[in-house]
Amino acid sequence: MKTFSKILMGAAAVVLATQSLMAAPPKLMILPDKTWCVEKGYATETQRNGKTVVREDYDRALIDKDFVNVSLAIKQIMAERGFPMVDALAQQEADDEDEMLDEAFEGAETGSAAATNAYDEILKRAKPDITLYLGWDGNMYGSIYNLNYRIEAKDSYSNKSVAPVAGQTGDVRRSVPVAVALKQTAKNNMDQFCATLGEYFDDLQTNGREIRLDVRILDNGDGTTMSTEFGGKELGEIIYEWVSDNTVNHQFSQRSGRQRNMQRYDQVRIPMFDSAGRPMDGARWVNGLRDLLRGLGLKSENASSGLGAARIYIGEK
Amino acid sequence: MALAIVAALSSCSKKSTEVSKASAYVNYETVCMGVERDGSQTLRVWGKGSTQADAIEQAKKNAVYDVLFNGIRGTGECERRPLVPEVNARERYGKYFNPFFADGGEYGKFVKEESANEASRLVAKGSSVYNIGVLVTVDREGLRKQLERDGILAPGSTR
Repeated sequence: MKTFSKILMGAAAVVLATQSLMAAPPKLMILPDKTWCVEKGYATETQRNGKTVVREDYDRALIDKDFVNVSLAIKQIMAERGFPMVDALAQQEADDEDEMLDEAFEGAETGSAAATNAYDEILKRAKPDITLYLGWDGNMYGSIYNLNYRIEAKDSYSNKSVAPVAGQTGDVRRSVPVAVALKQTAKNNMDQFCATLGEYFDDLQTNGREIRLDVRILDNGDGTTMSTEFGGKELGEIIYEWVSDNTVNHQFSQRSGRQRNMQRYDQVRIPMFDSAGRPMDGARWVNGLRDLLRGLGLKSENASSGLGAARIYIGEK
Repeated sequence: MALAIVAALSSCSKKSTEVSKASAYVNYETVCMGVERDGSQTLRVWGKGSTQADAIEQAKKNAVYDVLFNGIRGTGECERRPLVPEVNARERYGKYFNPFFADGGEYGKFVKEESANEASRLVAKGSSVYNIGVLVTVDREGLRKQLERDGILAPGSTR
């Protein structure tokens, strides 16, 4: 009986295999998109290098009643298709609590605090594989309205667009809540969207996560440049070889040409797990490069931010 | 399609089950069938070869290879993480793994076909190639211990 049941399972497996079998699903998180945040006034403006930078104010956007309801509806749709979700709001509340503790601790210690970015903080804690950016706008006609909605899935590490979906609801009465109208329509468009997410994640598991890497030499007066030789090999070449050896199937691209004090790489495919089997991100991965630099007698700092940006400063620690 | 295969399987319990010729050229993913109490994994795995024996042996190699370097993806309770997650491990330890995966190599100690009943074999015959799906059991724990002894994995690895 046991054998027969395995044969049956095997037969089912053949059918599944022919239907592009999806691997373990990616972990998703929903955030409101920038357009929606700006339209609703959930955005802040800051000046950086003479330019005005608009950033989403997630503290307010994530508790918007419509967003909460709509994201809940999308979560249901995704959960029905087997995608685990990370709750951005719950994550942010946990972050707020940690921040309060950090402030209390820092006040007691030095009083200094590192600048953080709300979005990076949410991502770093929740570590979703893919972030769904959700937005919509409405057209009112007397007692009826319709909605244009958009969902864009982005790789949380590389920020690359994975799958966009957009649509329009039919005309609905004003008494119908936004979440209900959107869920009805979105449900019909989500199968292909989910299949694309699954295929993308499958590729990540085979070819590694995609991140970018910046290595900079700070001018601290010791004269180290990318051309400085260690054991007969230039530092730039040593770093290049390390990147090649530690990327899945040596997949990466050097973005900058030969520069005296900087090397930049993108499309860097790092393994999903480290050699101890723990999940990997950019900051953890680049620690291996720091170990190598330490062996050359070079001080360095791991200044990685976000999940998919590995950054090393040589000459400071 | 599922019904046709199931019907075919139940009607000829002593023979391999032929599947469509087109399947001979498809690369099927290894699928988890279950995990035994001792940690060994039962897999549906496919292999290609110029003869049936070649194809079955290749399928066994593929099963061990996937457990070691790819992890068993897809649904099921098998461990998704590869036993050797170190990046480019196959290439780094080429001197070790080339003989390991050679015909008659060490890999054979850790994989066996699940059932003597040949009906569990799904055979696709192309013009010059067989693609055969077999049910195999891979001794993951045994592999781990062997790799620890041989210095490929750190001792005490819990993967």
